[in-house]
Amino acid sequence: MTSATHSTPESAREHATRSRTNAFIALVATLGVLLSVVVWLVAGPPTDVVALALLIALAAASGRASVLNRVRGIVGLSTISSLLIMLAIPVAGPAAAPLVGLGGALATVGSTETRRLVFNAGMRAVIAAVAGLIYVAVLARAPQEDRSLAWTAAALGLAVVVQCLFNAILVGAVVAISERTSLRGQALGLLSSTGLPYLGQGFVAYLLYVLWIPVGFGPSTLIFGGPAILATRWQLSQYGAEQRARQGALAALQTAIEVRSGAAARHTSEVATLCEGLAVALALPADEVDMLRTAGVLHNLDILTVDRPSAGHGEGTDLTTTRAMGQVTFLAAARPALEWQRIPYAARPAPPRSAAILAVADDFVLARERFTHLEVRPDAGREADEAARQVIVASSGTTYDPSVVEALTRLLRRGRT
Amino acid sequence: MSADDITAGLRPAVVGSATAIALVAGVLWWRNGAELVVEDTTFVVLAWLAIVIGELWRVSLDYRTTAPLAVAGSMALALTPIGPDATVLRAAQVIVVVLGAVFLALGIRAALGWSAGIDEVSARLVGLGVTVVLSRNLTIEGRPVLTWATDARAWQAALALIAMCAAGIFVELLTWTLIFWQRRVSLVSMVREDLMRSGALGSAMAHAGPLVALVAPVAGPTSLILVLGPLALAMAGLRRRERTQAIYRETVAALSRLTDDSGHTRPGHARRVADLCSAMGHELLMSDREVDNLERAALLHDVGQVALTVPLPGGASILADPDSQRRIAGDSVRIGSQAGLEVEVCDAITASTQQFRLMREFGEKIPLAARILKVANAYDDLTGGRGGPTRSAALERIQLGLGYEYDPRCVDALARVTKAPPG
Repeated sequence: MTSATHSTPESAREHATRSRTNAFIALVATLGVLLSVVVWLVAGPPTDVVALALLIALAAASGRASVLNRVRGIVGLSTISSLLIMLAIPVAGPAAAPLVGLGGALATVGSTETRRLVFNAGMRAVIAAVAGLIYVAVLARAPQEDRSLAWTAAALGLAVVVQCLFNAILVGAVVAISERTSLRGQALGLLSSTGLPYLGQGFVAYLLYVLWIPVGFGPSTLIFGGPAILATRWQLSQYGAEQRARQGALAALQTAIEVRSGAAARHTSEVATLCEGLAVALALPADEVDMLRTAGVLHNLDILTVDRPSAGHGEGTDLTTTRAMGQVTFLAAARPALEWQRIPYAARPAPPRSAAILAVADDFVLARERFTHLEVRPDAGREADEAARQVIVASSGTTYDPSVVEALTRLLRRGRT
Repeated sequence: MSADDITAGLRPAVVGSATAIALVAGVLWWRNGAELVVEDTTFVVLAWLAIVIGELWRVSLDYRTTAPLAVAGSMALALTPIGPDATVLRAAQVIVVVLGAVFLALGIRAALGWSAGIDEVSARLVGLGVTVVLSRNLTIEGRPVLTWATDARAWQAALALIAMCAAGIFVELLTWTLIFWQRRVSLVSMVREDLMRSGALGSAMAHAGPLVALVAPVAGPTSLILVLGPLALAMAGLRRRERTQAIYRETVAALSRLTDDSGHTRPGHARRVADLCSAMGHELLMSDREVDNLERAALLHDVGQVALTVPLPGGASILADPDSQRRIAGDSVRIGSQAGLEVEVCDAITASTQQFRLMREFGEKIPLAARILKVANAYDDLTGGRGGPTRSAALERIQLGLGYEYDPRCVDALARVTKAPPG
């Protein structure tokens, strides 16, 4: 018995995206190996094997125990791998840093998808090696007689900044390729959400270095500096906990809509996703991306009212139920978008950008639903997308903000709606 | 003497002890010429600033607040060799310097209209007093601990200094726990819970002062910034945790009003049931945590009604058939679990549709929270939130189902908590 497979434009595009992602992952892994060799040749082999072994073990433990702590639903930010990589550089030598990074990544063998594992290992090797090279370069400028704490601090500080940048670019690039979104939006979003935690980890790494070598704690630093390491990790986990609480609140509202009407729930989910996609395409800051996703979920909440059992997708809504949700502080940020959503772009005063994005997302999804119902051919989805886009483009500059319409067109070209 | 008597007398005792410490330190300092000679003025200024900032930036751990930066700054002043010839400051000098910073912070707090929190400041001063006295009087190998620490290995010195600090911080925590001790809860379990709650932050506080003392000879005054940095990170994490908890609270509150706003239930139904459940839970001697869970279950028990396109008359789920009741509870749990409701809370909502006789006759496990919720919900459905004559009619109706539908213990508790106040 054989099974027939139909090659549709959608599946061909998916295949091409997957191939591009795999190629990028292979490139990052190769770069990781090459840079690790370079840092070994430049700085020499690791100087303290015991320290190296301890740090690899700790990185592996941290990697295994890592709770999923997502930033914008994309990147895990719970391990203290950056801290351990930064500590390895002055304590065990720059060549030790990529090994510690690899240790943390490889500890998740068996629990992580192979592609993700290879990318994580390659990326950590790259950022650790680059940080090691920066450290060597800065210290090379210090006078031989004055390799003081201040020079070490400067070298580590610069290495942390570069490490943070490389992390944002590499992770942003792999997400942009695999999700077909804008690299700029992803990288900026990551920088704004991971920048401070990176600096915090660099700061603690420097403290641990001071305890380890100048004060003379040696390996027992990992015990006496334990509270500092735990505090850093705990602080990072709180970031994830807050994100989960927000996502939970939105998920609860989506479920409330779902128990009332499956179709309305689908519409809500699609509008929320498209709002997020448009916000990323327009390179908005991470908090505005989150706010727009929230607005997408809330925009259809009035369907729950009893006198509106078949209310249509936010049209003519009086926002009673939505306003009630404004009591949740983080949801209140979405209120301007909801209240201005039906105001045309050409009106004066013009609606805020968030309302313009929500209006395009909501009306595009509505139009697509109408066209999808009319078509039954295999590529109906693609044709419905195009027909719905034409509806939106026809009112660009009057009802809809042209820059948002352009972003929608870009997303459609990449097949990301 | 009961625990409540001890608690009532403890606040003045704590403030009195702190005042006594301050007075003794002041007198001793005055008798010794009221001088303060330090080799590292920058260090003292930074520690002083840490105490002032710490007293302005306090963090709350449920019912008590603490000031990690202030505690760490004070301990650093007490343990770091900044006096002449690398000696530590005398006990009286440490207390006087710390008091100066505390008074400045209290002045700023008063000017900003913030509460002074004299109890907690006093508890901190008592804790510092313990550390200062221990570190200057205990000896190891015939030498005072602080002198011994200067020659010992780094890890040995760290262990000794951390022990001194931990003792002071433990006394501060114990003082607080005693102040808030409730007769119903064992003191030991409360201290254990407090220690768990303080967790990483308490440990970071106990380590910070000793680490500053050990890093200062190498890094000078920047040791304060270096060591207190991670503590500030942990405090920022605590702030974030407070925000997270607020999100959960607000989400539950907003979801509980969803059926009011959508027109499915009478206005304020969920809130009234939650208040009633809370009163009944206390009446039936549930712990604070159990009452909190019960309250959340009550707030969200009816949110599943949003699935109904035709609302129940008056939103009264008691009037719905058993299948509909179970469906509503099931949808409530689906929505609530997304918002982070704990398993116990979801179980209480699910089981609140079950008849009490299943427990009595077939030994089914129905949690007390579910039985309370069932009775409280029925009462509010029947009274519609009105008191007066409807109260007795509702109670009469509920008593008809006594032992079959409702748990008699819960119905008794309901009768007690809804009794009109005298007059």
